[in-house]
Amino acid sequence: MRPPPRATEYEYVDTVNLNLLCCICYCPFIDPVSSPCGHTFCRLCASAALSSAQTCPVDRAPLSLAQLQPAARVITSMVEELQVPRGALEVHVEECGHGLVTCEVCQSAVKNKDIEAHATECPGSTVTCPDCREPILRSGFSEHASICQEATMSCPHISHGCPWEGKRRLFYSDHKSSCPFEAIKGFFILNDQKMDALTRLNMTLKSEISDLRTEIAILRDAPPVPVPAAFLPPIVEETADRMGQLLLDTDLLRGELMNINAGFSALEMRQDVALLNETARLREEMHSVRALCQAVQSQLLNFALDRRKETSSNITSSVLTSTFNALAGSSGDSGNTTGNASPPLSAKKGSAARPVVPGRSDSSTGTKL
Amino acid sequence: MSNIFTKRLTKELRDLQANPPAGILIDKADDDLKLWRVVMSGAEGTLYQGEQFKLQFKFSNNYPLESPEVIFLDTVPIHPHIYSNGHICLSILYDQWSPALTISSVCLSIQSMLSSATKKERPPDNAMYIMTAKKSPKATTWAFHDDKV
Ligand SMILES: [Zn+2]
Ligand SMILES: [Zn+2]
Ligand SMILES: [Zn+2]
Ligand SMILES: [Zn+2]
Ligand SMILES: [Zn+2]
Repeated sequence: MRPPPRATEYEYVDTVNLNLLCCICYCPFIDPVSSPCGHTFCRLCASAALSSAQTCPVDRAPLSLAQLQPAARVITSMVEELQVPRGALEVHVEECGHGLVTCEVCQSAVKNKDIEAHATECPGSTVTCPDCREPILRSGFSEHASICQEATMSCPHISHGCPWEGKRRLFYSDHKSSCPFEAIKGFFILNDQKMDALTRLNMTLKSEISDLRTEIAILRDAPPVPVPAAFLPPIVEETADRMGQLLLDTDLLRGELMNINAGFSALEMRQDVALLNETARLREEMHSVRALCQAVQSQLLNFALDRRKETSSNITSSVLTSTFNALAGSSGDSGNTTGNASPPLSAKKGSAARPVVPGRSDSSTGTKL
Repeated sequence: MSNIFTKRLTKELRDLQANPPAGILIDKADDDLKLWRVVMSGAEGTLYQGEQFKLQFKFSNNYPLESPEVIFLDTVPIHPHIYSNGHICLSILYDQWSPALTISSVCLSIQSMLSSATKKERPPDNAMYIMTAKKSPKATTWAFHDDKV
């Protein structure tokens, strides 16, 4: 005994009370639900309809999925009554095309309605070979066809050009020994092997060429490799800046050095000139002093000679002493001393009359330092 | 969804062939049920008495959740709500569609629309509309005329 069908749809006996039809699918209700406005639909139909418009399909009253309630019990039981009556069910199960039966030959389960079709394809049934008339098991038929002695076959050398065709039995008894292609079978095998190798090589080369082509195309289309310009310039620029600064500094220093050199040589020259002037002046002074000394010496000598003639020798010594004192004083107040002490000399040596004081540099010839 | 589509249209076709409403005749329905032709006769005692028109119904897989596309073919009745390209200005074909409506109820609505006409004339904006309208009337945004005519 099968359980009654519990599928989502039922098979119904002919005409159905129109009030039990869903107005959306026009079938008797399946899992009916009712709206507050009093309309009943299949649950699936109602939710499908409400997903496109939130109104009752019958009277367009606003309606949402949550408002749907399972339909009244009476509707459900009326729908169930529409099902096939119990007694008929058992009859139906036997006739139902969808019921399963077992094939007596191959033991597989087959649908009732397919059993006739199965007979023509059941692997356990036998078929008669059209060539040798022997009964052959269907499952082994394709194998038999390839060995059946009565079946028609072509010479295996058909691809090399042998036109022979005939029963397999005759091929082995007649043709195989006389087939001209069979005689050079070895050559064909070698040839085919070589051809195969060449074909494979050709394929490999072709694929390599196409790989290379795409690579070339990619390289051609690719943008040039960008120079990492962003990294170098700061350093280069900095170095260049520093170099420029250094060159400027060097120039500046060189200029200063030249100035200093020029200053030095000017200074040297001035000092040379000053030294020369000084030397000249000192030499002149020395001459005048020497001349003065000679004059004093000669005067002193004259004095001494005169005194010796007139007085004693002690007086001479005192005069000498005073003379020396006078000479010593000329260094501090030479103008007076020279002027007073030796008027005759001033006439004799004009140049010496000029007041020359060593250590004072207010003479007109002096170079200002 | 296409399960409802097939079940429902098969039932509708069977019903319409078994008991066709007066003046409505299924001319042909495609094997896949997506395209139907219906012949509609003008009702007795109306302006269209004795005339015959051809209606084309096109169904999407979403029928009956989605309305069918309905147009007049060939001879288009001259009516203030029917454009000369066959498009029909009838709200239940567009935003007032409901899955509870059927081919039969749509045909009866169109027939009653024809019957209520008092004057055979085209809609006032006919020339403008047929220049701009798409092939399917469902692509049009309809502003519906009052339902009295
Ligand atoms: Zn309702
Ligand atoms: Zn339903
Ligand atoms: Zn079998
Ligand atoms: Zn055989
Ligand atoms: Zn041969």
